[in-house]
Amino acid sequence: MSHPRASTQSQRFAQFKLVLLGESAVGKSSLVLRFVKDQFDDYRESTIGAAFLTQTIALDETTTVKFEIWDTAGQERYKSLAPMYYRNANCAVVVYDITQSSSLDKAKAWVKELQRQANENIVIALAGNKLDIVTGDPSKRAVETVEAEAYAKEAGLLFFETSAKTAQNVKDLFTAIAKKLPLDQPGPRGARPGAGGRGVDLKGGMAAQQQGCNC
Amino acid sequence: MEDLNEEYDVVVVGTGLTECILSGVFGSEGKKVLNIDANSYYGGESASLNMFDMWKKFRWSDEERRKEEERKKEIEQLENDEREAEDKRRAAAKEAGDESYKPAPKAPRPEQVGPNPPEVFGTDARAWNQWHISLTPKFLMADGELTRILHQTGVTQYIDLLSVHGSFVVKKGVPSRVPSTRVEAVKSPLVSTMQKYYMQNFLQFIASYKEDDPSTHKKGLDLDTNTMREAYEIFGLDSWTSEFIGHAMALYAEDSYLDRPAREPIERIILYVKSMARFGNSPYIFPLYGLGELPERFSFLSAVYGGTYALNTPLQEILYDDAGKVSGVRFPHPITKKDTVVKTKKVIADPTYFLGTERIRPVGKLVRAICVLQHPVDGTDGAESAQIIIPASQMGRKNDIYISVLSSVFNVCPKGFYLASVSTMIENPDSGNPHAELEPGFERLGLGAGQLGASEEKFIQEVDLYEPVEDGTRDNVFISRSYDSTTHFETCTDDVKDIYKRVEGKGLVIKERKDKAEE
Repeated sequence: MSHPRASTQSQRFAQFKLVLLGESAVGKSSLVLRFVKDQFDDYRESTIGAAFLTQTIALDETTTVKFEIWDTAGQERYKSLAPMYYRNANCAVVVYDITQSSSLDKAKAWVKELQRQANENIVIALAGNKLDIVTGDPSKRAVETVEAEAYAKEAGLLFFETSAKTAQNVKDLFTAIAKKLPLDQPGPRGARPGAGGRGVDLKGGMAAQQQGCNC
Repeated sequence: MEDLNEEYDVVVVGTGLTECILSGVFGSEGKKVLNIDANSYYGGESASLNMFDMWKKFRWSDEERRKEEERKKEIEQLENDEREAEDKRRAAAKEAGDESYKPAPKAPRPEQVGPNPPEVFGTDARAWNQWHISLTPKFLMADGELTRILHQTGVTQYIDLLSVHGSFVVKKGVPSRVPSTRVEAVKSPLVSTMQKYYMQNFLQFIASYKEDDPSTHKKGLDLDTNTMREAYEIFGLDSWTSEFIGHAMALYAEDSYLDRPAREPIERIILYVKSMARFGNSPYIFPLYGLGELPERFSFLSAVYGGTYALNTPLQEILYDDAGKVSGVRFPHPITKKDTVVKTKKVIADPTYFLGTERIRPVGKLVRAICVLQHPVDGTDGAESAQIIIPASQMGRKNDIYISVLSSVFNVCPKGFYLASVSTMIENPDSGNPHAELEPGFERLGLGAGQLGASEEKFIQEVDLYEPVEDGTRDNVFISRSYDSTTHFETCTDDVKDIYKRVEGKGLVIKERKDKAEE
């Protein structure tokens, strides 16, 4: 699965690995759920069950971008995210909660980590989530938009304030990332093309084998 | 912020492959699993390290490593303090309606004490991360149990495995491919003209053997009452032919198997031949980015099922109830470092957490050199990856030397480099120079007599192998075995199944996970 993949000259299709980072409970999974399934669940428990989701967006009539989105499965909670998580990520959404100032500090630490360790060309977006809460009650805001925006500009990040609950800016966030990704050059490897077709297919012959297996 | 639960069904200590497969399995069965590890990385003894961590492990002094630990703690403390102070100042400014609030400048961080790796291996974290050096270099048998588990648990969805290019055995200083089919046996220089007929018959028997079909069995050979030595005689195989079969196909490092029943060696040869038939070239497969991928991916699987992971968290104490059974574990909280106790009835742990205790006993010691080369290995047709076995008899030793070679094709090192591991069981622990036991292996790599190219490295390590003294059912502390000297993971998956049976009292049945990415 190499990418970007040009099916015909006029049609462009590219696939990218996107990782989510940020403190627990800032709404990482909710953002993805909104983006992928257009759903929101107020009482969503910590991420259990979904390893990764995919969503395809059409940038224009001839360009399609498919995101393979990796959720942290909660492994960030005790600073125990495995490096394989952001290895080969083409893009990252670093999320903080605009009602919790400490979550921005955490987001900054993740940005620093990505800029030090991840793919050189990684596209990073900073997302200040839970905009709906502040819209309802401005006194709940703990991180000023200008402050976060200034930081994002300085660090070279895309920046959006979002609400997974109302869907505000969610699609815009992912579209902006797609637009910034290098669609035309064979950039860093995408979601799973690591082996570039060289990998072995374990399914081959496995079924036949299992019949004879009495373990 | 949510915090640790008060109680877990199982606490797994260590994130080696054995532990991570087990926590993935228990998690998928709906059990609440907490997994802690004293290291800052996943994988324990089966981890892959980047070049910086390799340098730290092999080239820094104990003092430098101790100071680095202190430095990390200091930085963490500084960060926690600054964040708290900042939160207070920010809240106060907001309270006072102060619009001009700006975060305070951060204090300088203490400097790293130990040296960085030489520049040729990279000058920053991103470059060091190009290296994924496996501490316990083993391959997966293409038709082996671990491959099956990877497939059944769905972990293969997130992992890429490549076929290893060749499997070689050295005779009189020359490596040759191990023949595994009748056609290869005819061509192989390893099999003498006299032996070709017998070897073909033997391989025919291996290829067609079915336990429940007596017509495929060899007349006069009972796998349970005849020894392997007798089996070789029945097939008319001479001492060299049987030696390379036993060492390069059944993959025994020494000869004690000859006087045991033929069943196990025959099964191992069947596994070799079947694995060979899967993807050609060799019976081995290996993950892109190194073996550390395996524990990492299994940990992710376990986390997806709700398992909790905490690195940098050393086990401090196992607590017991009045009946002498496990009741909980004590460790410093992964974030606050406060003394923490969680309840659990079962603990699974790797033996490195019990060094110096009565719970484990040594079963041998191996010496291993991980060599960073800038040239392919002679006599392997320029293979980008290979397993080379030097049988003990060729060197006047009791134990074989294993060499595994990997290159940038596997994304384990930058282009132009090769990683070769040379290992053997130590036969003369009192010689004072166990590294010398690897010399025939070094010669094979062009590193004889201490020779080493300008940008090449040898990381040499002596590894004690342990097994648990008890089976764990007395107090519910289940200890895994060290990763042994074999070339593959079959004994590791045996241990996984064995521990599962001891913990659960029933055999392991892996739940198939077939789901794909949700669209």
